[in-house]
Amino acid sequence: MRTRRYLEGTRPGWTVGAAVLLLLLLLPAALPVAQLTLPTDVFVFALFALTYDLIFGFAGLISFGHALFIGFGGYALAAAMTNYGMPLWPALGVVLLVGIAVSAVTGVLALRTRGVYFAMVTLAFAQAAFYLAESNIGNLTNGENGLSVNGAPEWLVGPTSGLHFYYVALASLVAVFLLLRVFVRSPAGRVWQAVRENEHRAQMIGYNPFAFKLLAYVISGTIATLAGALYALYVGTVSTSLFSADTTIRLLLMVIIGGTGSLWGAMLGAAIVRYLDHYLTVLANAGWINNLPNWLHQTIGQPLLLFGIIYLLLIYFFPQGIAGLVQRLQPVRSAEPAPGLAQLEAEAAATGTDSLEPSGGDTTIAPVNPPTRG
Amino acid sequence: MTALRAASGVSVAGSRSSLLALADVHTYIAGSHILQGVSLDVTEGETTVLLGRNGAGKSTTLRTIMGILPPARGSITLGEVKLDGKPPYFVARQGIGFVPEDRDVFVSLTVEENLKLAQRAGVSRGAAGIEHVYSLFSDLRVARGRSAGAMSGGQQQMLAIARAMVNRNRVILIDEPTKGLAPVIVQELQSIFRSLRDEGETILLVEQNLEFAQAVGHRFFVLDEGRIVHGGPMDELARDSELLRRYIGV
Amino acid sequence: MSTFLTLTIAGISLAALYFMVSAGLSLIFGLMGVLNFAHGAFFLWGAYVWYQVFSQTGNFWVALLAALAAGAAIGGIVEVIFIRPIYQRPLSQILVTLGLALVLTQLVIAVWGVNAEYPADIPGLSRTLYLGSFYVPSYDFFIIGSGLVVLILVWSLLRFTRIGLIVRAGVENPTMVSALGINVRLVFLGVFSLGSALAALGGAIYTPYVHQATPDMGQSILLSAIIVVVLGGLGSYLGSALGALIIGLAQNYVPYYTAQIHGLETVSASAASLISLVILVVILLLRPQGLMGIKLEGGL
Repeated sequence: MRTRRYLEGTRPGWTVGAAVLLLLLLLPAALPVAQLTLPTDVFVFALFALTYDLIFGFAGLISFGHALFIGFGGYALAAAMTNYGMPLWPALGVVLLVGIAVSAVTGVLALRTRGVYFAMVTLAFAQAAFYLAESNIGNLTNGENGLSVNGAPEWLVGPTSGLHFYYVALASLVAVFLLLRVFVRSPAGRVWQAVRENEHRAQMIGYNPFAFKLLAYVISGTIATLAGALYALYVGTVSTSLFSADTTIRLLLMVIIGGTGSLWGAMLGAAIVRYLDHYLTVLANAGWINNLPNWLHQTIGQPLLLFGIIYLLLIYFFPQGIAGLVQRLQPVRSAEPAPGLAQLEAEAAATGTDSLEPSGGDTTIAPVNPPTRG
Repeated sequence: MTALRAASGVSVAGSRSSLLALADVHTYIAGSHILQGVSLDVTEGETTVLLGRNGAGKSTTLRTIMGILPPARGSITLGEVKLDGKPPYFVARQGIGFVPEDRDVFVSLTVEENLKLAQRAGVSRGAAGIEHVYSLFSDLRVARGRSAGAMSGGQQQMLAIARAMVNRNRVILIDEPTKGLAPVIVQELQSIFRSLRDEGETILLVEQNLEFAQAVGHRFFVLDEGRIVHGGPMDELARDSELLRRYIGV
Repeated sequence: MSTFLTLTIAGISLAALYFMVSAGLSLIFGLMGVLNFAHGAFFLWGAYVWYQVFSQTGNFWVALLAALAAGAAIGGIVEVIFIRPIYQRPLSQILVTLGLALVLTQLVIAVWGVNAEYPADIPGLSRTLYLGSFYVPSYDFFIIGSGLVVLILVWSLLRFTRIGLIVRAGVENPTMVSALGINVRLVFLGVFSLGSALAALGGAIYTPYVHQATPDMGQSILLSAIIVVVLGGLGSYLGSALGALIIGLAQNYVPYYTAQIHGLETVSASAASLISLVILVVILLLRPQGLMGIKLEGGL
């Protein structure tokens, strides 16, 4: 059956995945509702990370502005429900439309650039959104104070909402994961891979790289926007920090820990980062922390500092992430459309110029520059 | 057909010694095995020509010697000094001048600045060197204050070669100097090469233009699919049309 | 009219500041192909080092020098330890410099805390000058002066010295420069340190101007610097001066004049940032090589 072929992967992989899913489904039976907040948070962030992996890992687009979608999703929902009093489902409809619109518009603009320029433009868009939100444009965003999400249905805000949210988030995550997985391994997904690896060649064969990149960008952005709305619903408020670079750094960290382009790696990365975030905060408040040497105390007290250090270490020593390590342990793999960071690197270098450029090795020093001028 | 005993330090051509030697050099570019065991040597005071079809790996060979591409295997020596694995500036400082395929003159600099930039402390011929270069290439003297980007292809080629001559180099690597140039310019180049030969310069030349190669070269090697398949004195080339057809496609 | 002149002086003063930060960024990109997302963090460190030394010595100039030195030192360390190993990995360069920006900013917070620091007033530079019919803070002239000094000094360096020649050639083709026997690694280090020193100087000059140092200064200046550099043309030294002038003036004119237009009042608060972003997007779409850059063929 075609779908099964598209799911592919290895038997052990799916077995582990199924086991984990079973565990997660049964978890609420073992834990009090209050302790479900962290896993729920992880599910939502895993959702963010999946969408980020899609553009970064699969489409090879270096986006520094993914927070744009998350923020838009949150604010759109909050504005629709709080400012305009819409009920949940129509509001979600609005969010969907906003997601498509924002990703399409920014995508069409940003995708006319590549590489570093693309990173700059996406960063600029996210920053613009940040400033717009902060300035309370059109009286929609309430500036620095943020907006609360009012009018959510009872089953999502009442006493048992924790449990409901847990399953809603988990279901969304699984659905999106399967959707993306099938998509990536479908014929359309393989064209993506070809376009990413060698745009020039793909164009010669007759594909339109721009259209494919835009498609990836819009799908990723739309789902991320919806996920942002989910997050807003869950937390109950939105603030300008949704648009911040902190969010982007966390996403980058998640896909790099997990390994770009493996989807499940992004989810694992999300879990690791969010757990670290949580436990570092707990640790920072513990009494015995004060007895540690100052620098250690300081680092634990500032999760972002620790994240930054881990992030840097990973890029130098483990650019493949966990998924990369796992991949190396498995003897036989089917044609893998998911590239690690190193492969993205090589592809980026290869598309940099037509002439033969130096590759690899520490002894040559020429960087891969913007191509020769004139 | 005589196969060349390469990299043994003993030149087939006679009493002159081998200056630059490659032994079993392998180079990969983006995963492709371009050089698959290149062994050759360049005799001091002579012009050695590297021939071969497009894509055989001639430019790659020069770039590997220069350190722009790292060899995966094999050795490159200039006299006693090991060159393989070293960065380009190290190789250049050993006394190797480089005239790349695309000329790579600095278009935002003037002609004079291009020449001055090339001067290396200790081996530079100084102001006399620049004067000498201007006497060989009168066009350059006229254009000395002009931006290199404003010059014609032929003039840029002159500049690229001139750049390699402002220092006392032990070997000069030149990659397809006649490419894209009008016949009259090629003639000019030929006489320049002859004066270089008269001055005793050691040159490793990559060239597709057979006539030019035969006019200026003492010895030749043929590169085919990343390997040296033949070599010998230049006059042997004219006699052996089978060789020409098989490896050079003439 | 007098408002216009006040805005213009403020605009040129801001331009001088942007130039100091952007010139280094532009040269670093042109020469090394690295878009240094950590450049704003150098600005930040310059600001805080200035604040610290000024608070302890009370000497404005000594503090400036300290900031300059700190910038050069941090830049040098960053280049050797973090940038050099990844010359060949363009994607990693982008990712790493972003990570460095985060770590360097967090280190500032670790040392000085997350709240703003307020330096004491500087006698002599806090005066307001009355010129004809408008007022200008005298510090604006100091900034403009500093900007001009930097502009001329570095331009002379590039134009008249051998090292400048090497840098200019390197911006075009660093491989060929190396093939001429020049150790481009050292040149990269030098340019990177110079760029970071200038950014730090900018931070040190900016802090007394706004009377505070906050940890988010790095991020906001980075965005403006990137826009200036792209507008001027990556790798073009004079281009970054031109770009800085345009952005500096725009960021002063636009907020004021949009506030005059009925209905746009709320936007005018963020108009400064918005106009720069609009300019960035327009430039990248219409003329990606910027005003004075050389046409690039795409790719990284």
